[in-house]
Amino acid sequence: MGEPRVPERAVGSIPFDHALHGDSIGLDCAACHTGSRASANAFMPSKADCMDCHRLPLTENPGIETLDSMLAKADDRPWSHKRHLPDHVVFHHGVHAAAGVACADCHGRGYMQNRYGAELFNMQSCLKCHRGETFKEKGFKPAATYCAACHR
Amino acid sequence: MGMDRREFIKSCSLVAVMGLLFGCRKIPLEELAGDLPSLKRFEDEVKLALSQAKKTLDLVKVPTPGALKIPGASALNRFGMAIDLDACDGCGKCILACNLENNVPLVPDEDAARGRFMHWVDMRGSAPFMCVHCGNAPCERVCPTGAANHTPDGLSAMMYKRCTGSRFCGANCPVQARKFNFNDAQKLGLARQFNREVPLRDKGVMEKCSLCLHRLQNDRLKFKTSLTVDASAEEWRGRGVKTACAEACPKNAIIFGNWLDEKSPLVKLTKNRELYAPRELADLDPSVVFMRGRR
Amino acid sequence: MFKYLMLAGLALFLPGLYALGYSIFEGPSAWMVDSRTFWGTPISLFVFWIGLAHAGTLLSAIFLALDIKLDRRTALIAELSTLVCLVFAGIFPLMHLGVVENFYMVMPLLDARGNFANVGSPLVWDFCCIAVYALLSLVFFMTHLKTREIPALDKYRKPMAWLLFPLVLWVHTVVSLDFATTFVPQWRGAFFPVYFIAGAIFSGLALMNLLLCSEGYRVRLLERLQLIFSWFMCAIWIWDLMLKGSFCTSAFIFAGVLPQFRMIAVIRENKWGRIALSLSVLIGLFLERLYIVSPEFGSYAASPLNWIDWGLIAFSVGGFVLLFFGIRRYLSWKMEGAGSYFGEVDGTDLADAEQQELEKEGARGIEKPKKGFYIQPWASEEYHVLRLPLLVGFAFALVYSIWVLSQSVFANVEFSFANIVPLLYPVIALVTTVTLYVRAYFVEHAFTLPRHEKWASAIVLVLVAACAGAFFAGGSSQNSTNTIDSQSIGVDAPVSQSHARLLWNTRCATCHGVDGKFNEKFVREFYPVPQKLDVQRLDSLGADSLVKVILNGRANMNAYAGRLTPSEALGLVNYMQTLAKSATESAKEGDNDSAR
Repeated sequence: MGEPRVPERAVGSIPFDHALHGDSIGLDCAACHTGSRASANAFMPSKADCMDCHRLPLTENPGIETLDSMLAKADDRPWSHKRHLPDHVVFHHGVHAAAGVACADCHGRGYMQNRYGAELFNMQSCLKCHRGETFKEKGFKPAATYCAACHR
Repeated sequence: MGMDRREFIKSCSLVAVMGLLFGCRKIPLEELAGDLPSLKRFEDEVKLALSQAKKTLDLVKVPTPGALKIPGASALNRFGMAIDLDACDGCGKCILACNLENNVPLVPDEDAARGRFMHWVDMRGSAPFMCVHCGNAPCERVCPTGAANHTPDGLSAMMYKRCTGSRFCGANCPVQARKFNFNDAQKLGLARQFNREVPLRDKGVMEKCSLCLHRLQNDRLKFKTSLTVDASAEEWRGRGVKTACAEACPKNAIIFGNWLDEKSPLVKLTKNRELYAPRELADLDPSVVFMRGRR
Repeated sequence: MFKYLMLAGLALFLPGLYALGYSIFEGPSAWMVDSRTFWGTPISLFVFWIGLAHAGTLLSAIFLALDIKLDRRTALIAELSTLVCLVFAGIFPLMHLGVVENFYMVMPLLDARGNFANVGSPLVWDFCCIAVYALLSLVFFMTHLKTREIPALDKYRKPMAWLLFPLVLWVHTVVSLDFATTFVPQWRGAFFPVYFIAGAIFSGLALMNLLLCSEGYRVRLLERLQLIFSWFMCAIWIWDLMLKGSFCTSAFIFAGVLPQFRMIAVIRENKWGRIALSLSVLIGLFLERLYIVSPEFGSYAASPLNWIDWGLIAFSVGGFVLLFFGIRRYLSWKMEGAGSYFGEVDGTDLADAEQQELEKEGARGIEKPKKGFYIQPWASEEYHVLRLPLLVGFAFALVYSIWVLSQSVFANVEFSFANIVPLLYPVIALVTTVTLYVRAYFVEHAFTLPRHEKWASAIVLVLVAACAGAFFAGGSSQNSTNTIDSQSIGVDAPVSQSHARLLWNTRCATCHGVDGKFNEKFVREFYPVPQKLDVQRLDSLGADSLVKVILNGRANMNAYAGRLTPSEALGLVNYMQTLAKSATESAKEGDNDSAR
């Protein structure tokens, strides 16, 4: 029943720096976090996703050799973590992306220092935006505020 | 009196051996407790419930459900069901389907013997009966924390994490459609998460038919993801969603749909039919109704 | 006598404590016999003890407000019994919850998650009413206790009594509404508030008489009241029988028939006879509470109580004995002279004691109106004391109701001011009391506290603030058991164009760009430039070979075979063609524009 469990891995198994990826080189978050436009989970990249670009030496940075050797040895799914939201919370990345919410609106800009923004999230911050009390300048469509919209 | 070295080593090794022995015994016991109940046990329990079903339904005529009368109600969606009593033969496949879809736990043998099951769908008067999602729900009125609440599209929703277990809602349901988790089903090995989409409930919370809220949620989320941000005046109507019980019924006696959508099979099949509801619920604006008699 | 009482209390309390612990650990399955009724012994015990608490306030506060003279000792015993009863009345609703740690969700204030309790529920009214009642009773008791040391505090007793008088009736009305607002046929009836209040006062009088027997004196007024209330209860029971056909025989015998034996002088004059009468009333009313709460039980014999039920009863009775007599003993021990702190009573009747009290107060120079002299309510002293605090209380209640009505949690609920009304009087009473005492202490300097009491008050305030903070923060959420890693391949079913667009923006746009033209920022600098999308070229290659390119890869493009299904690849190819078409069209328009 269900998919086989993937063992928890240390996030630092492949050296990864957000500052070298993302906006600065013209990459959208969804390029690696493949579910962030269409799925509930944003997901972490698989090795194949990394290899899409890293099949070629991308820069002359000496670090790239270390990276290439680590990638060659890496697991198919190098990153995994326990879901940070409780199980009774239904959060769908795709719906928010489709509504025009930018990744940085919720996750902040801390991802450049490899912080995903968990300290910014609680039910109160979700409700404030859903009730229209924050992000007024972005003009989002009114969002659902009844319990069963996000819980089950 | 102190002991000499020999005795000390003897007692240490004795302790170590005991630890190994009893430590070993613990592991198989834990594994036994963590054993998941088989599918057959769930099927057998449904059969037992069917054999014991004694309650009957006292039905009176009700008008076709329209839009909800609560403030902020959706003008487009009001989900509900109609159960065709003539088509239903009491086979109970809907009960099993609901139990597997919603991870409804088994009950201990003493409770089963007394006919107290956790099933969200009961057979009453050889008709499947579940929470009718009253538009004017007495349970929601008295819940102290707001765990029992109503969605704008007509579901009487139950938020398990907000439930404090006062059981006031259960006391106030005129037809006892709500079930209370007296036992920690997971610890007793009575629960199994057949469907990962639906959470297992903790001990001490109430549960009841959710009109497969998870299916409706997933459909709505998928619909809203596919929209382009600027375009589409089209709204989500929940078309194509079926509850587990409606899907499982071999006679199509359970029809799920949207009372406010003319294209919904629910509206089409209940047009010009007389609709019934239990007497105690008739004034509470039920969303789930019964049909009988040919057109 | 004290020693035997404490031993008896302990003998009941300890097994009771075990039953309580077991109940909290096991949850409602420990005492639930029948899931039809959903409530059982704990709620019967709750209603029973809350009723007993009310009589204490009746005798102290209501008698004081109505100028019915009761000696200091009886009044203080009554107030202490209220407080001890409230302790147990508070424990039972907590322990009967299925998820005890979620009890904070019942508080009608915004919490850290942005949630709000359902203010229309009688349980929320219950929570507020009882909390405020307990607080105010404590303040009233402490004030009364301290009037011997600080005579100036006497000024505040009657205003507090006037606050407590409606509060008592309010609380038990709300408790009765727990039942009367439901659909259970046996619980319907607009007379329920009167029914419950009468039962409360009746049982409370019985308890008071028991306690006075233990003190070694009697107040004939209270015994007579007990008899009168037994008649009143019988009338209500007969009314209930005529209305609904429900009748609890055992309750009628114990609390209706047996108390009539007071009319026989032999029983009445004997201390043990009086004790027996009071005990009979208490037993009868407890059976009646059991009968009300679990109507399916029918007669008590049909569904017997199990050991947990008996344990919970023993816990409350034993606990009451221990707590009440313990505190009573402590107070009479620590203060000057045993018994004198509670007041001297020489065992004679009320009138004599009353006269003594009056003389003592006259000696201290406290102005009291002469008996039989009528004062306009708004000219009375207590009104002058209460005026400003009441105003503050009403203003606060108004602001509170406006705030509650504006909460967005109630957007989908039929919710109006009428749903909040039961909460308002406790709010008013609480704010009034706080204002009254704050003004008395800080503004008027009506009394001073010795150093250790100042520290104690400060510590209590800090604890109260911590409690409020805990209520606000709520419990922590359960961590997820699910693991997130990379996306698995989807189901091989046809994809819509909008979904294909999302797939393209995710997988392909990094190099090919969102519009099919290149992602300039990335490809020139880091990655080789891909092929330009051209309608003719795409058509000549054909959909099948393009799908193969996606799945199997080509120069500078990895295979997507394990990550995209063939249907998704086909969808992408179709989307690519629409992109190419619109690119060609916009190029043509661009040409046309530049040509003009």
